[in-house]
Amino acid sequence: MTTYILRRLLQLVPVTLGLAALIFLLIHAIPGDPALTLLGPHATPDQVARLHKYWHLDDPLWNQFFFFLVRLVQGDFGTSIYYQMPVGDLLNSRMPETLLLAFCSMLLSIVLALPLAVLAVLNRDRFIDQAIRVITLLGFAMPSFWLALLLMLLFGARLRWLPIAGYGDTFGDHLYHLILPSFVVAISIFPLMLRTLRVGLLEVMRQDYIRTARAKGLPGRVVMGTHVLRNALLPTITVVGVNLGYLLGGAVVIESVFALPGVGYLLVNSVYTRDYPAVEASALILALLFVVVNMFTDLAYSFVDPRIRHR
Amino acid sequence: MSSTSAPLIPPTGISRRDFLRMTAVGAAAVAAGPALAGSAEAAGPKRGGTLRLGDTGDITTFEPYATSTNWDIWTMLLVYDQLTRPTTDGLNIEPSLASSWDISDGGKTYTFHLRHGVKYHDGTELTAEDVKFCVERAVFQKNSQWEFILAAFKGMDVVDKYTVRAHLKQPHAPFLSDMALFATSVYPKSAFEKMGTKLWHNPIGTGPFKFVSWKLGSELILKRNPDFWRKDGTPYIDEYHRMVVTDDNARVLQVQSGELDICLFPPLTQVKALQSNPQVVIHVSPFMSSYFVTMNVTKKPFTDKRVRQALNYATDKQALIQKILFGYGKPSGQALPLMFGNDPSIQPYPYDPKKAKDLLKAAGYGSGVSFTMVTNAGSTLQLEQALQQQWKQVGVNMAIQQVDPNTLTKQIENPPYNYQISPGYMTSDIIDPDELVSFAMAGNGGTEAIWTLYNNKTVNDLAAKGAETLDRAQRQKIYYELDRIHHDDAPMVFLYTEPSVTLSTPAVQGFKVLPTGNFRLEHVWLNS
Repeated sequence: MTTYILRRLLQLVPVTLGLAALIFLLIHAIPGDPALTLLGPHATPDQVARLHKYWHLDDPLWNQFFFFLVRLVQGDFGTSIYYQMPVGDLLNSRMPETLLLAFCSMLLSIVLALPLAVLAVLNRDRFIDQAIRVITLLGFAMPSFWLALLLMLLFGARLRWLPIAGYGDTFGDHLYHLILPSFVVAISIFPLMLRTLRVGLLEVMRQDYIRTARAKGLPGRVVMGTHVLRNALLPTITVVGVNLGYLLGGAVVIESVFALPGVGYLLVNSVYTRDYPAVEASALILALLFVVVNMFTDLAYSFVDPRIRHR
Repeated sequence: MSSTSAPLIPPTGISRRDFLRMTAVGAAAVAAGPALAGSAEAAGPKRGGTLRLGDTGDITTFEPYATSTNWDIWTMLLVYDQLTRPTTDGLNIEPSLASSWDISDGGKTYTFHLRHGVKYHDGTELTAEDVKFCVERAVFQKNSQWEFILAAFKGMDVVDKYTVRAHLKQPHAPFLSDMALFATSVYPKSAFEKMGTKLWHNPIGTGPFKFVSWKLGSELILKRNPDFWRKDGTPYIDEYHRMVVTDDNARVLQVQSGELDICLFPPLTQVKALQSNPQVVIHVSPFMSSYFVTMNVTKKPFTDKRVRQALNYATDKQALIQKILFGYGKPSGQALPLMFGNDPSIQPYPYDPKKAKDLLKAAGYGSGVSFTMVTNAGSTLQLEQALQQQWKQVGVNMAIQQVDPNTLTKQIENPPYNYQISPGYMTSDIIDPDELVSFAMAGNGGTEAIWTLYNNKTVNDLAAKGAETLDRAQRQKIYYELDRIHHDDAPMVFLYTEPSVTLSTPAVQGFKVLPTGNFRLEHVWLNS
């Protein structure tokens, strides 16, 4: 097991290099110029040339890439052109919100998906099952920003129960401000979780050992909790892992609509303004986070299912 | 002191009826009847409270000369002061950190007398050393984006602790307006020497508000400067929170719910609907903005003046203002916004499709003409499609191409200037026309006449002469002539000027947007 973990960790090195090169090439391949964004309508060719020189944008590409890697290894993520401050600080200031939103949305999603999936399976093909299927379809189909606006209008402007946008100051405030956003995110990711879990549960419930458990006289709750659920979790863990990776990249639309200071918005804005250092570093970090989450998902398999042992 | 006090906007500029219709007097009376009843001017300013304002984007820096975005500019003007500043009506220049000045040497030397006892936010006193340091940095720093405005500036000398002398290469009439530019904001030289570039994220100035904290991408907090040198009781509020809310709908909703006190850039579609909402006050103020469509005069069919004029005649500006701006605008016949140098006698090209067709026929396009308009990928295409429809009536077949903004800028602003026609707008950062005349009308200003590539020697000469002539009346004549030539040559389709429209809760008092677009929050107080 340890050798497996070590092997996966070592794999991170070529993966990082590959990702870094790809991201670097992609952002430089798009036409555009950060100097023009910053200078605005007044830009004269002289000013543009001055800024290019100031930021070393005239150096050959491989040169820029090399220095980017050298700095990266030393823990220096470069300086954002747009904000004119270290990218590391930028990421640090915005990561907490993205993590908190990801965690809350994930939790809410599981809280929605798990009981509903069990309910659906226990009442297979009856009205409740159909109703739950319709709800999942609605959740899938609803555009998140539209739902966000509706909820803002109802709970924020009309009822004044919840804040419309922003992130608040204290931790308690943060949670209060994240109620609507995490609900909106959860609505879009819980359907897949629910359906995967439902299918998994049905699969497992057909197995012989479940019949044995029932025949032994175990109460339904124990059968469901101890035997069925645990065995059905495998494909759902994959879904959770993928969703978590996506959420860590920042739910960009939700972050924009609710004015949440997250990483997703930072990344999109940096691409928009051609803030090369910010894009290179943030995209790389987020991609690596995804890879790491993936790794943990694989490890989680062996905890849930002892038959899967990594060598 | 400046030699004349002639108003910069001639009295015939805006009719009184129009002005009232466009200002808060008219709109607020419609919008907030009962709610405004208790907040009459008679109730004096109250001290205290926190003001929350929502804008579309975050600030990026407090380095005065290193930015061009309005987010940064309008915020910096709350923390810093400059030698001079515009009057609140945007018509003149008044003293700020400099209490008076003497002009000598034919307009090549300006001696500024600084106020005594002005304290920075860190308690130290403002001296001439700081002014020399800051203004010279604004012009000569490598990453300055404003050296072009201060091109006539040679340097500054410290005469004594409170006197500083500026030397220009040639007489430059806009110089006093230039010294009001946010780029020349004054901060302590000693603070920069101690903190270096960290100062740009923890600014120290002399302004009515002191920096408290900045949560990147979401919230900036400033607090009241108790030692503010104007000593007139301002600012009234204790704290100012600048919130970044990029989503237009969320921002407007937050004013309705009271989460925000002021909202900038509300979508005009919603403003109309909000006129009957007593929880929201609509502020409409004159703003030095100008909207047009630039044509590349070196590419067919725009090489022919008749085609350019034809498009001007084929545009129904009133219809555009009603449909797209919901009435919040005024047709224009020239490039300059409503400011000194804008000739009020120049009428907008009348809507005359027949004349347009005749002109096109004379130019050889009687059977129709085709070209492509490039525009921002984020555009809602309202203007572009409206123009497409209007111009179709005179035989114009226009395709619309959307390009991402960064690429678009590169395409339009770099040789070989590979575009035919594109919508644009401009605002002025100083109340003097010199900035925009060099930027948009003279072909030798470094920006190819806002990339129309229009290069008329007479216009260029007039622009240079206008900048060097010190007599106000003479300058006006020069700029008026320049306006007429430019209007006639029509390198642009002149559209309209837009006012600034903002929303606030009824509790906000004293909020006024200046023609330069910024707002002096030290005059705002909350009536709650």
